[in-house]
Amino acid sequence: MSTDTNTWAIDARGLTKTFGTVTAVRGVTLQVPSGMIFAFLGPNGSGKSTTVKLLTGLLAPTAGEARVTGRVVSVEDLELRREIGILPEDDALFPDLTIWEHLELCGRLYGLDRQESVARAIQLLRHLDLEQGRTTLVEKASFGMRKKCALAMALLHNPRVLFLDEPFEGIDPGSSRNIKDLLLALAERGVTVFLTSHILEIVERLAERFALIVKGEVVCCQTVSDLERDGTTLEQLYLGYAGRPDVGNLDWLGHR
Amino acid sequence: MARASLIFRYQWRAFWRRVLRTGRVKFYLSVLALLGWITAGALPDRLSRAAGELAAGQTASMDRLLLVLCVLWLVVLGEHLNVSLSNDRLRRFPISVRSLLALKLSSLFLPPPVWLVTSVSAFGLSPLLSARHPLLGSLAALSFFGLTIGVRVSVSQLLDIARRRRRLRFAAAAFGAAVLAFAVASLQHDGSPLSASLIAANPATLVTTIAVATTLPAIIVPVATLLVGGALVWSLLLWSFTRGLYDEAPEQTAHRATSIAWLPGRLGPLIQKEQRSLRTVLDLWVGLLPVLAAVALALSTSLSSAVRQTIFVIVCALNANVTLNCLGLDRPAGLTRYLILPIRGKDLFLAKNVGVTVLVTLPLTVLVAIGAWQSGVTQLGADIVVVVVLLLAHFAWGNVVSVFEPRRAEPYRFAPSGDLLTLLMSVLIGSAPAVTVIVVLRSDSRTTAAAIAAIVLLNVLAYYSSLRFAGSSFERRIEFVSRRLG
Repeated sequence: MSTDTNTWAIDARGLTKTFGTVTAVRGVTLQVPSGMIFAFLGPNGSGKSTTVKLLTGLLAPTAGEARVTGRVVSVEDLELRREIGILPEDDALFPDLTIWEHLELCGRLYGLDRQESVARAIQLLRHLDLEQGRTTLVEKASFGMRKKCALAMALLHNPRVLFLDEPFEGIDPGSSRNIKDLLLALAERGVTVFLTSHILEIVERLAERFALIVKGEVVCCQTVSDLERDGTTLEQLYLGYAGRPDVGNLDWLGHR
Repeated sequence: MARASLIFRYQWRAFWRRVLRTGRVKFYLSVLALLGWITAGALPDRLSRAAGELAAGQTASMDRLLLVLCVLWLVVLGEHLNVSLSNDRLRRFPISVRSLLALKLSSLFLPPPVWLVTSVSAFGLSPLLSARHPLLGSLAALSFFGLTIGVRVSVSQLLDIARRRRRLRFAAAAFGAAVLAFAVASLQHDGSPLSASLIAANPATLVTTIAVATTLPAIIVPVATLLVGGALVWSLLLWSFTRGLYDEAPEQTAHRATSIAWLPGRLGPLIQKEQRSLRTVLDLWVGLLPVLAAVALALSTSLSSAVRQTIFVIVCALNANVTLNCLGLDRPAGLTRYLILPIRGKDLFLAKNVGVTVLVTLPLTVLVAIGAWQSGVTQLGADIVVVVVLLLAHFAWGNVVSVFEPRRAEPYRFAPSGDLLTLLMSVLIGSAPAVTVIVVLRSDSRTTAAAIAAIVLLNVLAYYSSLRFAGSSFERRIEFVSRRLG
């Protein structure tokens, strides 16, 4: 594949983000071609969500540069926001609006025609099994409903690149299957999907390529088919790099 | 800007849903009634007096009126709106920074008390029509209100930038002290050099100077000052807004986990948690101001026990948002956590009360020590009794109010809600036993000691009963409390 920056849907070079004395992300370099499902893995607090924020212009990097669909990511680039769909880590919904109002507002903010917006919203709600809960206030909605609502909002304007932070967290198996099918179909149509997840089985089945970030640094970036070739599993590879927390002596558990 | 107005329509809807859900309507109604009553009683007379003075080229009444309006703006804008469509959640949409700022500024006008202050400010401009330059004067007054709003929002935004909170705490305190000094100097107007210099530095005088100016240079200087001030405030507003929007700090650097006092026992960690969160409530810091003033006064003169003990009462009244609302900082998930923990409701309230006591009594201890140094050990005992009775009474009533009329409190914000009359009544109930003790201490009766012992005993009993009652009520009413604080 050519290394020309224009061919990459996502192209990050040396991305670094420092908060005071804490370096959350250090020199992250990765390229994702168009139409690929790319998984970004790592332990809790390793810098996954910060990287997503840097790639989507929600945070300005301390050093380095990222391009998405060929555009340099900047915190004030509104055109870029129209090109991408974001499912943030903390769903970022508005507690006192209903699920339907979220989609209504979202469609209008992205400049969609009202009829088109309504038709798309209805289809997305049906696909995500959210039709029954459309009049529910987000404040009262369950975790899974909020996640689905945020996902529908990320998809409504038909983005070219999707950034999904933990999209399967708290989702029921039926909807999870629907989301997986949808993401695969989107990738076939040329949409790039950048997702973070802790569910390695889903990543193995869904993603074509993945990167592993540990303590803010990308320690491994390869295709899922490389795993099969090497006769290893994603879990083994993950634990090899990220390790496991020390298993302490928990003998007291279960003995009363 | 079209996007900002679109979002504002949803903001309006969401705001009123939250107001209805959290019971804030009662607070707004009581504030409107109180402000409306004061305004209707005092404003017409002040307006006509200011108009008469301005026609004669005098400005004192108008200066005071503008200052009062400025303070009113600062107070009503101090309410944390906790709006549903907040900027951090809107950032992922294709909306420009200026639209987000426009949305933020327009959202300031959502609460009804701001409508009232806007109307009063509009009426407040009417005396300027009698001045030599009515149009210029009115424009200057509008700029003055704009500056006030800009400064208030900028300070609020700077406080929002987590990394700067520690440093800005002192800047915010200095700002508050400056406003207080202006208010005191302008309202006292005792002719002292300090009072005169403070009045001269009061930005409200710029407006009246323009309105009554007799020469061109007398207009140019204050107009230029207002313009430069406006440019500076606008720059600060935009800078702090943009900075707050994009410059995040992770949790671990934003909050250093320290507490003032380590306490032993099963409830120790819970008390430490309370101390950490309570320190972020601005009311506690405001409560320091009278203590600082008293300490400054005590350095030059001997404080009488009556003054010292009255300050104890004032400090507790200023801290009413904490002493009478001890669940205010909790969120629904946190309340559920309390139920999961193997502690009873009364233990929870005890931990919260001890947490508040540690923070409130620290500054009071300084005053008590000064009292002991200046007036002897007998006064030390009297002061301790007053403080103990004050806290017991506040907590005894406050624990019950916390369960039946909880009000949401916000860190680094003044966020009053609920019924203002309930709050005022609670302050009276909480202060009454201590005031009685102060009065009894001054009586020369043989039964003084017995009366004070009886008051202390009654308060101990009331507090113990309140702990048990509020604790068990909390366990039964957690849904209601969660809804109010959600």
